[in-house]
Amino acid sequence: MGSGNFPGGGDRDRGGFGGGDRGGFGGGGFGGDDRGDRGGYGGGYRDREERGPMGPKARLRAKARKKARKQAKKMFNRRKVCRFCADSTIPIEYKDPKALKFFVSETGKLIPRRISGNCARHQRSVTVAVKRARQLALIPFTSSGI
Amino acid sequence: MREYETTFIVQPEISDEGREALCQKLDASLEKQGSVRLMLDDVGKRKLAYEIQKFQKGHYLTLNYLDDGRAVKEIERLLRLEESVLRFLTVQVADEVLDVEARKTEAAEQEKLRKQRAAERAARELEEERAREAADREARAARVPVPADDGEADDDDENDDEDEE
Repeated sequence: MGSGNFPGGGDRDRGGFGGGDRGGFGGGGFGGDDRGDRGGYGGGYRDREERGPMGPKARLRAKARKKARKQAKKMFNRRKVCRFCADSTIPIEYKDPKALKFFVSETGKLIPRRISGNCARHQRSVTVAVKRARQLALIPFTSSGI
Repeated sequence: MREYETTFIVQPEISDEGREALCQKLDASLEKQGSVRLMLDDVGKRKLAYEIQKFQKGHYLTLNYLDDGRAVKEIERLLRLEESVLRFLTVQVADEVLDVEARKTEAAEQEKLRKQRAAERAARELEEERAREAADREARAARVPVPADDGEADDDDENDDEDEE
């Protein structure tokens, strides 16, 4: 029992066996729900104690699970494509406030690239267009609480 | 030769003649400098996103021309001197226009098209204004109480918004 059951590599982030800030050996250390998210090998820490040390197959399965999770995250994050790259016929015009509205927040601020999905090059031209349109009073510099 | 585009906003109350005179002044200046005037686009009156010199609306005009860069200074000087001009912005459209004549004819065609559209729009606006006046007169004849009048004024504003879009 106690720390002997715990696979050494499983606790890479926290260093040492089961101890650290969680305090002491044995069951107490394995109670936390958040443990599953910490590096190491997959979830299921709570049962580990009863099941004994992780076998080689379990380790492989855990690895696969982790990999799948990582990929799912990636897919979710990057799906946007720069709309100007996708369709090169769309002009970026400072005289067209309606088109520029997509790249400006409700308060009149420029929307960052990570949200609008523009590529660096087109974001630059959008920025210039928005700034020109502001000077010509086509879109507001700010519009708060009217 | 480079192509430049100067957009300027004229006070909304200036008459058509006044605007015309200003445009002719600019044209004359361009000619004197030896640059090529391409086209003038009358965008029309539209609501300003923010107040400029207490004006809520402005008349937008865009002038395109080919030049080496000297005329820009002169044009901007003229616009700065003109009190009816609320704002102006010059933008370089093309760095090098090789075939001047081709660009000229192209611009002339564009100008024609835009003029047509501007005329149509002007006619529409005139009609709307007349309709509005007629409605006003009717309302006055019927002696509608004050709050109803306010409501009508709001309606007018909304109509204007639609025009811009």
